[in-house]
Amino acid sequence: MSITSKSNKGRINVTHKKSPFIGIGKSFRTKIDPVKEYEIVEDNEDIKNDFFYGMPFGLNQNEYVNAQNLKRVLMDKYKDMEISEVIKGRENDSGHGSIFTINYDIPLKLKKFSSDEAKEKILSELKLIYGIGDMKKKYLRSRGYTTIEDLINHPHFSKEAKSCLALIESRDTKNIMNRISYWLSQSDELAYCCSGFHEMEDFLFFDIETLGLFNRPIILIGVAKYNGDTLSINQYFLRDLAQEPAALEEFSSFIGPKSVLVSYNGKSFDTPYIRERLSYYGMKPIIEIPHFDMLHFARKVWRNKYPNCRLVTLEKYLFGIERNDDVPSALVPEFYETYLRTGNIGPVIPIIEHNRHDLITLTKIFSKLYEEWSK
Amino acid sequence: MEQVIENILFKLRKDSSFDRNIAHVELLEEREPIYGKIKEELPINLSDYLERKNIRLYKHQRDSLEDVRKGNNIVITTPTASGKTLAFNLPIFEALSKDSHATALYLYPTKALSNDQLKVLRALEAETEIRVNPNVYDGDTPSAIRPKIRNESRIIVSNPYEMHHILPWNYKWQHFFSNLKFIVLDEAHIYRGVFGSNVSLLIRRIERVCEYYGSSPQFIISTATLANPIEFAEKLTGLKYKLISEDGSPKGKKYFIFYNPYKNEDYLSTHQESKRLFLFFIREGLQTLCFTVSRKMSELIARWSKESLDNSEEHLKDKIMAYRAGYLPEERRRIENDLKNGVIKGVTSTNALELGIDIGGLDSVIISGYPGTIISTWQQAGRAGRGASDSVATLVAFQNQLDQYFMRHPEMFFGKSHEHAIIDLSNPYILFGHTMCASSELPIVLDRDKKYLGGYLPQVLDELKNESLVKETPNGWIYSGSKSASMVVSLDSISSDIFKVMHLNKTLETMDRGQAYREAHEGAVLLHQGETYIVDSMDLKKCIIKVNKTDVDFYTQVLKESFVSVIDIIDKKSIGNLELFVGHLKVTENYNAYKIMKGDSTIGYKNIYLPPLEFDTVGFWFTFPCSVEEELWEKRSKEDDILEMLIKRKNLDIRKEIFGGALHGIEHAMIGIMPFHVMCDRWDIGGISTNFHPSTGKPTVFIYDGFEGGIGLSEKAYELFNEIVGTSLELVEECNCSVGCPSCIYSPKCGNDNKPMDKKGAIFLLEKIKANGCV
Repeated sequence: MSITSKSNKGRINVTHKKSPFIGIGKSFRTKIDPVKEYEIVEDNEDIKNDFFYGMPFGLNQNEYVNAQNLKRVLMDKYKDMEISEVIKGRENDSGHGSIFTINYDIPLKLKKFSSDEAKEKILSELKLIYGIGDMKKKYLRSRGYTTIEDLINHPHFSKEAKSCLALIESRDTKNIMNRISYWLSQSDELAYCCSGFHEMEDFLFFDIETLGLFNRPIILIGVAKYNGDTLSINQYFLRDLAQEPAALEEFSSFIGPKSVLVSYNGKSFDTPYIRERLSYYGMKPIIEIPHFDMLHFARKVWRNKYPNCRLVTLEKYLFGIERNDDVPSALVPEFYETYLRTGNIGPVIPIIEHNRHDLITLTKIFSKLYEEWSK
Repeated sequence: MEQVIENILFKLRKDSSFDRNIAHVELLEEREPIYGKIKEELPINLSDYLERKNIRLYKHQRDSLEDVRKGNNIVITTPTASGKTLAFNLPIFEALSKDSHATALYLYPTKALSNDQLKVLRALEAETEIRVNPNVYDGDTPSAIRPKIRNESRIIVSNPYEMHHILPWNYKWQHFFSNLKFIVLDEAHIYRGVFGSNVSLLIRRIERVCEYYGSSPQFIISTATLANPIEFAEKLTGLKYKLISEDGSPKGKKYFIFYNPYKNEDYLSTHQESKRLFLFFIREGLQTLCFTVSRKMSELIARWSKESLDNSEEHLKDKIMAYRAGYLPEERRRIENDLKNGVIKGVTSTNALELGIDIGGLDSVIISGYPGTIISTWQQAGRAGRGASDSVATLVAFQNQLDQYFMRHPEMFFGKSHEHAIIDLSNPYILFGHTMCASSELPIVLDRDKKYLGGYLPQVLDELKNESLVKETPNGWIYSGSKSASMVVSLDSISSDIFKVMHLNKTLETMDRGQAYREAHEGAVLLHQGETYIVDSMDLKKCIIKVNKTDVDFYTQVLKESFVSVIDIIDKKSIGNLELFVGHLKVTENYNAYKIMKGDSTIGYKNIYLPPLEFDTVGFWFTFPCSVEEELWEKRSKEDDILEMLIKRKNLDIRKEIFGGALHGIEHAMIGIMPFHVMCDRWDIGGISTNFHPSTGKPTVFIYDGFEGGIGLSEKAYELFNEIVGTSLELVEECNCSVGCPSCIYSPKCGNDNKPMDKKGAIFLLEKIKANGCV
């Protein structure tokens, strides 16, 4: 074959050596931007279908427009300012680099079941015994068996009752909750009652803000602990996405063998999300500890009473709180992206406040549920 | 059956209405099985199983077992029904029985194939009592059982689309991935072109996650016969391979008939001839399957056949039917079973039956129209032949270029494969999309990940960083976009714009802008899984195409006009005084009208209004010295047809037209023949030819990939230029027509309606290139 390969210098005049990559990043950016993970409901109706992928999903036109206005106002207000000038906080060094930490202490009165109350309530539910349904329960009660302890003398249910009693006396919350979920439901008030087996200072109320529905960075982790009269809130805010491992590390460091988690929708969203992020960075997974998800209980109690069970909705109806200048959860990623792109801290101010309000309301709902179920 | 088939063919040839169309009969000789002896005994459960089932391993099954035992990656290319499945299930079951933690991942291109494979695996598990707990994990898997499958199944059968969405959740798959010993890619030839290039990067993402969890799975790839199986497998996965191509399974005699309706002036259509053959074979008692290119045709051929039956043939009426993808699963099962047990005598089908699905073997297969690749043709023909019994396959040609080429050149069909499966790892759009996805699965670490994501990784990350889609951190490059990367990236297209084709709020398929303009403009007849749809509206902003399901007997072809300019040159070579280049091109395509066609004839034209389509791509082009025009004219102006024209028109006009027509003819011939060398759809490539091009300053023919960023077709064609010129010349030279026809230089998608066109000129120029190339 006489085909000869010449040097690459063609005689042809061409606009030369353009990198084949130029502009492609941009083309992805323009493709990604219009993708929305939330839905704007045109006619300002209340959002009925309130959760999607375990996250509040959808907002109405008013909320959307107000939020966009808010963003503009804040960007004007906080132009050229540093976050530490606006929000009291400090860079805290975790094992994985530094992280901006905001601490608030709020005097508060929280209530919960005592251990004995919890035990008593649970033991009075005969349906936790294999073989007992509604009919059987009614019958047994008419024969004077009102608690599981009574059943220990029952010819037929004695063995089961003994083992159930032993389980409850063990105060092994996880397994007790499993049993309750199995025979009743995971949102049953008895599951909530298990919180009575723990000391107030072992509760970790937590809530995360993220850059999307899954598989993207967490931008803020809020954790709150209660010491009897004060709620102490710690928020770990990423001024830069590189700080995510530090925030995760701070969160993990709260968790001890006695800790229990309290969240709003955390079982489907926050915990799997945190687990994924820890794994993404090759960090140690968090240990399995009991987790009380208030969303499940709130739905049980208030589902038919209020338009939906989103946290802000309940807050309005239960505690009469109306948030001003709030950022709707669905728009948190957009607000944070604006901060990343412009460096203007304006849009993150409401995110931090939003997260703090969520935590406070979470603790109040926890307490409110006690009131509901201790009646 | 031996004598039977021979007698039937004898009868066929005695009937001149058939015989006159027979272009060629190839006899594929029967073959005794070749067995192989294994070196080291199989575990007792497996050897007992083989003994019980009376299975002796064929050579290729033995070879794959031994190679897998040695730890090699293998690519198996033996034909359909050669016992390929056992060839990879055997070594995998052996390994999984020895290591009770080991897992394997089987990927199939479709859900139906996954479910078929699952049955095989479950049966093998039951027979051998090797506990592998096989399960399908795909979009149809209920979420309640997903965690159990992830944590307990040792063989998971899935598809690339599912893997694309699983990888971001890799932490939930830690157990499975960290024990992953094997990845099987069956029917891998499907992974070519745009889909294949996406899949090859997806596979690298899987490999990367495996490395992170401490495993490095061995690959077993099974594919139809290709010209480049090793190159293909290596590109698909980035690993080294052993080829297993020697088929040891026994074969019956097979007659392969090439049947050309267009051999004679007074011809019937391909469809009519297919019907005649279909009926002929059924009447002779052969169970026959007829493949058609569209569902409509398969329904029609079945219906026509029934209508042509005599009163005395009433019993055959219920034994002829059509089979297609749209049927309900139960209906399909019933037809499949009736085929297997011989109740049905004749079935027509689209290529839905081409892949995998178990219907047993038939006596006779008719392929009504070349299905586009030799691979598909063989897979369809492979449906004929039950074990070692005799069978017959008939390819009925269309008037198209490749159909007609094979009718004249059966040796090119039966000889060694010329089809190269193309995967392009350098398409920047695909690369960017998957780099983004990878960064959201695990932080990207340059040292580790260059081997998966390519040498340009730093540049790609930099570009993405400028758009804040990734961020460099001490833990590596992390994904920082606020939208899910895997939701944005589609495996079926190059991620610029993706159009959704919607039917009643359901997405039928997705396509990129170019494909949408070509195939799904307003008024277009769109074929999806053999069903016809008419495009109702096309929303260019929202990228949504709405279609209505309509049964029509016409089809549409868009007409386009293209302009190209050269961006840069990647490589060049000289062929005599001809110069050949490959490089980046900027292409502008205008889609202004479409044709409405019925059979081979145009029944109307309609205008469409679409903005011009602009994209950068890779193409090859060659230039002639300006003096060639003179040479051509020297020869052509003495010929009768030109002399006749010279009486009526000006010399210079004709001279320009002839030269332009010659270049135009070469362009069309090369585009028509290219899919034979570089596996693709002819619609995947575009071209333009001109007497003078401003970028080159010379007479030039450009041929380019019709995809943003290019997909490797033109680069391969540049490598194979001599071969392509050779076959193009044969195609044009040997065609019986005088001034050009759809079998040689006419293109159905030509924006200039095949004008100007000069067949003799095209031959002259092609001969010149060939002579230069071979001196």
